[in-house]
Amino acid sequence: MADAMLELSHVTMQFGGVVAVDNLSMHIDQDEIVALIGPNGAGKTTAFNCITGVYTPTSGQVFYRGELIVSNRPQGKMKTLYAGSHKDFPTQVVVNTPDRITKMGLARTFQNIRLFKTQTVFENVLIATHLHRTSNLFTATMRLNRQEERSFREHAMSMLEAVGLQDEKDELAVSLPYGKQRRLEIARALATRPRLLLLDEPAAGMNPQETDALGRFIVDIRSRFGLTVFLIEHHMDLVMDISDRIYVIDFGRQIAHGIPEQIQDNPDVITAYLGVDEE
Amino acid sequence: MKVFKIILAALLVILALVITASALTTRGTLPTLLERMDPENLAAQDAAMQKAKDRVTTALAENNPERAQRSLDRYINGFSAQLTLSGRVGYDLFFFRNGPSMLALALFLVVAAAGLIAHALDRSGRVRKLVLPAILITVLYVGVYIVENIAGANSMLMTVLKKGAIYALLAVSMNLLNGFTGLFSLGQAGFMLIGAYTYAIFSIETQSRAQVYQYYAGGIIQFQLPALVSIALAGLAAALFAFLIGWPVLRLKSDYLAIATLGFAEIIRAIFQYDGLGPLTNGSNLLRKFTVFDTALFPFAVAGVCIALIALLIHSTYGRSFKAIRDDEVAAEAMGINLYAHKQMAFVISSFFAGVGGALLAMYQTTVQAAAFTSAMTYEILLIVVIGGMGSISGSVIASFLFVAASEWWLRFLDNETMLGSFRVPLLRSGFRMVVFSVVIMAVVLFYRKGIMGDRELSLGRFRRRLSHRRKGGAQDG
Amino acid sequence: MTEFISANLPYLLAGISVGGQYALIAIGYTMVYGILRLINFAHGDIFTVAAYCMVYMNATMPLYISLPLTIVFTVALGLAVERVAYKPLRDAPRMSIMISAIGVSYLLQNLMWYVTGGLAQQYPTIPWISSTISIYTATTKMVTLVTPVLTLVLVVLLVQLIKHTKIGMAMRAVSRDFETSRLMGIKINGVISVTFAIGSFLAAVGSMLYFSNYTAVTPTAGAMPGLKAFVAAVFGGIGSIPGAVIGAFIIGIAENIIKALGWTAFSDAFTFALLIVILIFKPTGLFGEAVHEKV
Repeated sequence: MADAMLELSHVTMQFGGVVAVDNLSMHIDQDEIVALIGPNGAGKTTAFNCITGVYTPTSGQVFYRGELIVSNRPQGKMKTLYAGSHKDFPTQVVVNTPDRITKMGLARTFQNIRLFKTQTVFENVLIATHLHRTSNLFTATMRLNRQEERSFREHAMSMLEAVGLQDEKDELAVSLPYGKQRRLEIARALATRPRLLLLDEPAAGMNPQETDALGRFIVDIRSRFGLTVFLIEHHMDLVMDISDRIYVIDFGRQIAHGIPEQIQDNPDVITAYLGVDEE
Repeated sequence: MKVFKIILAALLVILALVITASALTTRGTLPTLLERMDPENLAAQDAAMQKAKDRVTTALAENNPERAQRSLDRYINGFSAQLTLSGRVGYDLFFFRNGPSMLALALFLVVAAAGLIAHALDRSGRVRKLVLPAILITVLYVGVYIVENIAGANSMLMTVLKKGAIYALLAVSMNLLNGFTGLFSLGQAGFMLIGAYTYAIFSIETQSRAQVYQYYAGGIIQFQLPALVSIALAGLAAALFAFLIGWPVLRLKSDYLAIATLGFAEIIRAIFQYDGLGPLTNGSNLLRKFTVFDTALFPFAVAGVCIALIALLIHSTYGRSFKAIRDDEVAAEAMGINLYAHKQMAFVISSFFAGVGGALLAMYQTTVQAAAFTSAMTYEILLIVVIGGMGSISGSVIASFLFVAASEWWLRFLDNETMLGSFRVPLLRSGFRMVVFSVVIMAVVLFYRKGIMGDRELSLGRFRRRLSHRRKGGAQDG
Repeated sequence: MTEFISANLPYLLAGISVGGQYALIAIGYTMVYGILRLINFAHGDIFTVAAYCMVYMNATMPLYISLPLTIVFTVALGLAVERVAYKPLRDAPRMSIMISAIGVSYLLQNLMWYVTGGLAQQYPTIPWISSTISIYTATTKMVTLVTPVLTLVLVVLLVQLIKHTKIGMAMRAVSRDFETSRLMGIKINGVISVTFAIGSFLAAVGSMLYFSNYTAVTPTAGAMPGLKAFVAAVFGGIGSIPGAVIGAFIIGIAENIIKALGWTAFSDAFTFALLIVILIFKPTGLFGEAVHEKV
């Protein structure tokens, strides 16, 4: 069997005494759209941060296309503080910074939009193309890299066209309306030429029409760019609509996993979202 | 239109040739000029003229119009001959005195003509974009040269221009770090010190070393390097030091970074004054007798090239990465930008140019002493950057000249006690200038936080657009 | 052994004394940082202004008036600086406020230069604390002994104030979470003013002790002690008052040990080297708390 696009193995993230992600294992196969859902504060974004290198998990491993990209076991104070449920720690320690992980082919967007505030829409996307630069400091400063520069600009422009922002390219990124800022974040992530796209609440703040369009857009870019998509989302219609599979977590732990139809009827999921009926 | 431009260019070239010819030929004719200017000669001519004038008067008195007419003609002929002569002498003398400036002017005219021709024959539009900046830069350098020759190298104007150019480089290098990469570093004075000392140490005249290093047996270095090599070494030394301290300090967040770099600058200052390093640094004594520049064109050229390099860097893919880090570190890293590598790059490059600026400052001051490179110096440059606008190169340059001009020149009068009639103007005495100056700076910091330029640049394109926009707007109004 | 003690006792005493003086300044830095996240670069200059104030007032007034008046004036200056230079920038980026602080420092130094003509002034002798005493083999001024005692008394009082009064509680709340405290109805501006008042008060006291020892007052005399006190605050873990005090004593003593070893030229550099070492290995200082950035 071919390696999964992304595989998490017993990932645990603990801050002080709080276990934000507990023994999370999951796999995402090539070309899938997989959603990670759960109530607020369930640890979804923390899981994203563990995958993309923003945090180093306290324990557990992450594989990308069969390659071990993150691996850790409790160290220092965590040896005694560790409160996760999985106690069989990996022996290897592998730490990668976010930029290296992006270079491998994972790109992400942020829940609380993080655009480059002082720069235009076009520049925001252009920055993301630098990942593949071959020019060095000297050739870039002396403008000996015109060819490369031109291809970057063309690539950035085509990404803007892909998300339909070509007409706003010279506007300041922060002056765009909310929905367009989200799309710009996606364009920026796409410009790094990823294989796996991680979207953190891409539909937050969008109205039903926009959400609907976003769903179609995600399905569309998956086939157009050969992507695998992993997304966190609260809009259930969107999730049920486009996901191939869904993972549900609550208090950092996985409580359900399956195709949308299975999740919809899962009593644990309903409890997690609506709370336990006391009576 | 094309023809008109080429004709104009031809006229400019002819003018340039005339000026060049005048400037070159007058040099040999000084004895003749002096001869003609000889007071005795002039007196004789004056006497002849007086005689002619007297004759006219007499003829009129004798009521003899014919003779009066003839005498008057002779008088007029003599007068115009004298005028021509003095005009010629004046013209020749002018060219004799300002020969170099006039050659520079001729050079500028030729450049302008070349620009016009390029402009006229240009099809792609690429040359067109370069012509105006090229002409402006030539105007700047030719202007500096002419002003220096006319105003004198030690005039206040030249002091301001020289120091302003050096401060411009220092401010732009600090802006690269603080304004463009968002790293709040306060180590500028330390890197300047390394640059100034490296430069001075390598360019002291060999025969003066015994005298300069009198307490350290003439020092350990016994050779002198060419100025430009020493300047490059100055930059490299500062950059090397930045590279070494970058590893620990660049991991720190904003204000911790500020205080750590400030600390390193103080450590550097102590090390350079350390007696044990005396044979190299001359301990806490002055370093002097090193190569200095004798024309303002030197600091203008070095600072100009350096600032141009920084500007090119900032507008390259690397500069865009720096700005991304400034705007949002987390997002920048998620876009594949290696934070540490880029911060290190900005830090080392900024320090390189701070070192070069330090070397120029040493040349300007003609002596250097480590004790002078205090944190106050860093603050001064930081304030210039703020006044010009964080993230604007042209802002930093403009602010540097304004800052130097205001502190060295325009506000000087505040330091002198002044009497208006019998009324003694209050407050005016030594030190008041700096008080007023710092109040102005505080006002900028508090009420005009974006500074002169904000994070924009002075751009000809925008200027032109605005002009044409205004013209269009005017047409619509009418 | 006795020889060793008699040779080094003066340095040790000087270290403890100067450490106490740094501590009094460091508290001002650490409290302001705790609340505003601002390195108040002007604090060292306020310390110097207090010294000049004493010089000028003492020339015309008896000590029992000039001394309290100096303290009042210094506190007023601290409050004024906050009101004029920091308050308008409350919602500006941190870098802007820091630049404003640097601007104020520049202004105060130039102002002092203007008023005094740039000449060093002799600090007045304050009776009793300037008198000379000998301890064991060392001869020193009374101030050397008074400083640590007075410092500790003031610190204990301050800690009590912060722990047990309403304003102290407000200060702790604001330093923990500025925005939330604001939303909870704490009068932020009042808290900040009190912080600056306390900081300036301690700086004024510190200045009296410091300049009774080093009697030449110049416009930049406070810059170095100010920076060192800031280093002490960072060393102890910025935001922590006991941390600042312990940091200050360590720095004061260490600096004088360096001097005793004959490395006087490096005593300042040593302080900064210590700072850098601590920042690298324990960036939050001895008693500081780690902060997690939210992504």
